[in-house]
Parts: sequence; C-alpha cells; structure tokens
Amino acid sequence: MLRRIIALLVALVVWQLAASIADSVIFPAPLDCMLAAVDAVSDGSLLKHTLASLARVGVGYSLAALLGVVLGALSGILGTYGLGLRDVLEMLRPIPPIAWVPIAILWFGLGDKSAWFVVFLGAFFPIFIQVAHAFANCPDEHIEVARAYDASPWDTFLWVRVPAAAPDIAQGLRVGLGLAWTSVIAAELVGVKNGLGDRIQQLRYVTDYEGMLVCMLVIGLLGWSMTTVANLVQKRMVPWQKSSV
Amino acid sequence: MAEIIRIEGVHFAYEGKAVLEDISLSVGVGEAVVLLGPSGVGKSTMLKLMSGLIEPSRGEVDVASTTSGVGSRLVFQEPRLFPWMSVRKNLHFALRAAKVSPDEWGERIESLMEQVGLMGELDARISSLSVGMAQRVALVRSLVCQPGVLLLDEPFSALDPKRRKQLQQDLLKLVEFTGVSVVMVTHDIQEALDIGDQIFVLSGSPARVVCALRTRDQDMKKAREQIEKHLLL
Repeated sequence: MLRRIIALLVALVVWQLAASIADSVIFPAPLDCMLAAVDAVSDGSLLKHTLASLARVGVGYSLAALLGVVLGALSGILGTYGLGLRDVLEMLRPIPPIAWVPIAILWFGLGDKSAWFVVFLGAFFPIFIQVAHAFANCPDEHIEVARAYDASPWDTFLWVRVPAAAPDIAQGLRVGLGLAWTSVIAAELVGVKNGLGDRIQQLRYVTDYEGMLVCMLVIGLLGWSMTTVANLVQKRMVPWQKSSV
Repeated sequence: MAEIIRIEGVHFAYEGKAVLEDISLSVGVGEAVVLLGPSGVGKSTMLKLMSGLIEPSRGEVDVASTTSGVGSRLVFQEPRLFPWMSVRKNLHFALRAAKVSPDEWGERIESLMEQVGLMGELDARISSLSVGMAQRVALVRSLVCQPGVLLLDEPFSALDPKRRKQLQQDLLKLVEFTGVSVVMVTHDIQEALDIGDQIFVLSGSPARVVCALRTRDQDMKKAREQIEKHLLL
C-alpha cells in the first residue's frame, strides 16, 4: 500500500514539474486540475456524466456477459468453436470499438442504443472467445473421471465442465469489463449527449483542458477500480485456480 | 468361485496399432488380481476396458453388477480429485453419479473415511491434502459406490517407499473391510506378490498374457523367479 502511495505521489510531482517547465495552457498542472475537479464535483456535473457512462456500461456489459457466457458455453460444448467459428471471431475481435461507432449510429441512430451496441461488442468478443475456449478444452482427466464414475451428461456439465471452465469464464468477464469501459468512452465521443466521453468533447470545444483531464482521470480511476474489484471477485469465485492434486 | 470379471479373447487396437492381443482372464469375487508388466505394455488399457471407458476391438469383457448396481470403479494413477470441491463434495459427486440415495451418503462416507484416518479432512480443500492423503480419498471415492470390483492403476506410483507401504496397508484394510474384488496394475514385482491372489504378466507388442500364477499355491521365491523370467523374455 505504502509503495502505491509513494508511486502516486512521485507521478504527481513529475506531472507538476513537467507542467511548470512546459508553462502552457494545453498542459494543465495537477493543482489546476484539482481545482477543476472541486468545481465539477460541487456543481454535480461530474457525478451526472459518470453515472450516465456507468449506466451504459451496465446495460452493454450485462448483455455481453449473458450472451457471451451462454453462447460461448454452447459453442465450446457443441464443437462449433473449433469448426471455423474461432477464426471468424478472432478476425472480428481486433476491430477497435471506435471503428464500430459509425456503423452503430447508422443502425441504431444517435443515443443510448448505439452506445450500448458498441459497449456490447467491446465486451462480447473476449468473453465469448474465452468461455468457448474453456468449454472446448475441458481437461480430459476431469471428463475421464466423470465417465469412469458413470456421471450423467447433466452432472458432468454442472459439476465438472462448468467449474473446470470457471477460471476462464472469470478471466473473460474481467477482460470484458475493462474493454466495456474503454468502449463506452469511444461511443460517447460522438454518439450521445451525456457521459464522460461526451463531456470530454464538450470541454474541448470550450478549451477547458483542466476539466478534460479531470474526466480522463475519473475514467482511469473507475477502470482501475473495476479491475481491482473484478480481481477480488475472481479470487473468491475460483479459489482453486492455482491448485490441483 | 463365482466370477466378477470375465475377459475372453480380447483384442484392442489404437489408431490402427495392435496394443492387446487375445487376452483372456477372469477375476473371482473377493479376489485380488494383479496385472504386471513393463511400462507402456497396455496394463492401463486393460483397466480402461474393464471400467468401460473404452471398448475392445474384438472379444468380450463382462463385469458383473453387484447388489449396489455398480460394477467397477477405477482409481487412477494420480488422485484426480476435483480441486473445486472439498473432500466431502468429491465423495458426494461419486455417490450422486452412482445414484445412491442421499440418506445413505453420510454413513458410507464416515465408515470408509474412518478406516483411512481422514475423518478430520472431510471439509478440507483438495489443495491442502498431501499426495498420499489425496490418493486415500480417491480410494474412498471409489469404494463409497460399493462397486463389485476396484480397478487400481498403479495407485502408489507417485509415493515414496515409506508412504507407498503405508498406502498398501490402507488398501488391504479397505479391501478386507468392504470385501471388494481388486484388479491392480503395477510394474513392481514385490507389490504384485504382496497384494495379488492371482498375477497375470503381460509382455510383448502387442501385449499378451505370458504368465498366470496363483500366489497362494506358490512359494514366493519361486513365484518371483517365474515372473522375472517372463519379464526378461
């Protein structure tokens, strides 16, 4: 913990020094940003835009998690993942979320729906691929035990395949959450009328660079918080991950 | 003696390559049979045939069901316990799969876990068990189903000599307690002589039974010499 605080303080000092040397309005200093943050908190704008972004992540990510896990599991078990579907998805996965924004606006118009779609796409592929891979590659040794004990297909699925895939499912959900968060900012840069991404654009038009940086820092802080919480959840969900006899 | 397993003229090929050729043997109720042979000869394949995990290319494998309805249960070389379950849940999995009424679970588990001295570990995580403890739990996991025959695939191979001996004694105690028949695979002649009522030596490629002997009728020294002679061929 102490090391983290020291690292943070060092980063702030370096930032302050760099800003002093640059001495430019387009390179705000941390102290100026702190004052802008106080303003944004006190007038309620920061909370309003943060909640709007979080709500979009909530909708898009929930859909991606649900469909990614269900379809990924089906695909892995039925074997379609290994039959060419993997290559199609691996081709779609590297397309950055921001590249989907124009298509999303064409299909769903300006507003929440296009943002949900972009968030959904950002999170869906890593979740689907990780889950499908996990179910398609359940270790033979576990399946062999289930067969040797005459376990029914349902028991094998529930007690063997799902827990064996759980570490990868948790990993997919964690990676998906991070990407959902970065996707929402991309979607909000053009498609909607509120949210942190939109706020950054609006502040750019009025040359409020301190306010822009505050929004960016909030994005970073929330992303880090999500990853930290997801890591804790993953550890609790799959405590056996690094242990087997 | 009534037979619990009868194998007649079994051939087995894997990816076109003959592994076992014309194997015939039988296991009597309550008997301990050892399959002995060099590594890779096809001993584990024999156990998988008896457990029904694989089918013979030719010939017949008959495993009689007991009153419990469970024919055989296989104990693998490694314990292969599910790391996401506690010891108790691993045993529950086996009982549920064998369709044993949950009313009987507690009694079956406790009587066997007491025999191996692991009652205190019922709620332990698998990662907290030593290899020897885990292998004992694997033995119990098979026996809670009350199978007619216990199939053991070199279950002591991962243990040091002291623990190996200890686990052998635990196995004999469990066999006596449950009256289960045993088919064990090993490449250790002394282990085969210590445990087996009947010993079948497998050798060659494809493997055949090159020697079959009953230890009860034999002088141990002579039995050992006979086995060694066939293994060296």
